[in-house]
Amino acid sequence: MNTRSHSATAQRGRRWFALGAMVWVLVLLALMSWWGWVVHQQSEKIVELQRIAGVSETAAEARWEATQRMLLWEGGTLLVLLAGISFALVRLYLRDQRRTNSLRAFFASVTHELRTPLTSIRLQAESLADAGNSSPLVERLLEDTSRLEAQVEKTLELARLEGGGRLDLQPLPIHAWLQHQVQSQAAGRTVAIELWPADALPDALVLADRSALEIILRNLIENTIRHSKLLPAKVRITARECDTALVVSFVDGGEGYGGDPAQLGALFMRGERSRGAGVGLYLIRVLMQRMGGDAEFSSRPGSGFETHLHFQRAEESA
Amino acid sequence: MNAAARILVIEDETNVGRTLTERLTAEGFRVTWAKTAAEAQAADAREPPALALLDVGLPDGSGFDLAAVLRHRHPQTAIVFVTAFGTPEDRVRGLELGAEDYIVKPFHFKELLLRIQNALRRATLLSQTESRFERPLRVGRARIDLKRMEVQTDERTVTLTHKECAVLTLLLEKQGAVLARDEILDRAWAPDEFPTPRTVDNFIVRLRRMIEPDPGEPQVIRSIRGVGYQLDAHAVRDAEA
Repeated sequence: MNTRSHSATAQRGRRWFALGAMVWVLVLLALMSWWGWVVHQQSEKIVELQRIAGVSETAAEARWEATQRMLLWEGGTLLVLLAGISFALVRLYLRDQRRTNSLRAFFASVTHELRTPLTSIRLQAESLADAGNSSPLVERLLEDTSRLEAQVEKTLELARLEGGGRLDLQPLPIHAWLQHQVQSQAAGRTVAIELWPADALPDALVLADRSALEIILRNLIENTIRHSKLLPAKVRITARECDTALVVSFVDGGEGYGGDPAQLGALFMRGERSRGAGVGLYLIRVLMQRMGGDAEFSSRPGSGFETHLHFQRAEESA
Repeated sequence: MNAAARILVIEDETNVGRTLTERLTAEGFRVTWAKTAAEAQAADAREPPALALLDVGLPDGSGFDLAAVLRHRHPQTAIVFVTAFGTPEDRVRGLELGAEDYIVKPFHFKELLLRIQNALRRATLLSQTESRFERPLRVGRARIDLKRMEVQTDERTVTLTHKECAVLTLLLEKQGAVLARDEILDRAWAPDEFPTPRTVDNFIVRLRRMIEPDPGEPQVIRSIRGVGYQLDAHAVRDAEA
């Protein structure tokens, strides 16, 4: 199934590429015809001028042939150069595409292979913790496992989306979902999440992919813990209706971001003191856009970080 | 509730399989661990499990194919996929094969345990209600065998998923009366699955395709606007009568 959606995207790409190549060939042919017409017109004019100037027929014919040869050579060289450069560019583009695709596939498969050993590490660390060995060592092991899991998940999801992967959008009661997820994702983490005020969250249905939403929430919690000055880190979640959208805002009490706010959410953009790979916020924005919404980020140094998720509302059933 | 239920763990990774077996056994389940699809089929033939925890990438075949085999042999066995393949397409494929749940690795053991308990709870409820409909029924244009979880029409035979079966059983129990969407949601879904009224509507559409003579103009399962659905009692009769 995965392959099917990827091949559909690749097929679309190939179709556009073929269309572009066809248009370019037509442009070259048009250029060739135009140049031929120019050569013909110019030659006729030269013959006419020579006749007026009283040049002998033999000399005029020789000059006419020389001029025509020159014009044809000039035009031909230009067109051959254009065709050659186009061919070289297409070859380079295709080679680059193949290299990018194989690199992406390689990272995706390595990351995918990491999931099973990570499951084993988590299961065994949790077994140690549940057996009453909840020492700081085990807690740190679990915390680092969570960080590694988040990193693996981000890399895989990024590779999937860049490769044309799709989301499974379903109506989701966002209030109930957040309540459940906040509890489960905060469990065992050094974070305190407050749904504020809990009753004010509109009990609305939004269009969302549950797995994508889990990735978004996990990323936001991860960011909060990473940039918090005090532990447990604090996040406050609020929601409001805005025209046809529902906006869920996450405000943390972290150290904030001192750089250019317009850069927030760009791929591979990292803050000065950030330890991440610069993928998290970009992924949040892309996932929200794929769900028909958007994500906005804002921050000032020392005043925490704000993320506003704009969800598309799902229609209620009759 | 299901402390003595038998679970078949199908996992080729030794460390994951062993730890799961140990932890589930410690929770009171009877666990059998199979490392390959062939071992799983042999274990299933010896004693059908109440639930199968199934990996997708197995050394001798796909977990999706194995799920189809297990469901065909014992429709009552609840199937829960536990796999590293986590794309929406994979999840949809797993659920379309009739799996009760689809869990992507890595996972928290407590979450897995909760999902296993939910799946087993539904399977138990189903087996209790099914016993009231032991004999095959004819509903609309279809012959329904709830014991085998099968729907037969002139064109094909379809194995029902546990949820489809649960919704159909609820409609049969209340045939002639109006069944509210909320009641269906409460009885056929767990709260942490976040079902919506539209989820019920989608299941009804699927059932209508199987049993209505004309799914575009439903006469057997009627919509009662703003409330829920009503199964026409006159459309239900004993299939062998």
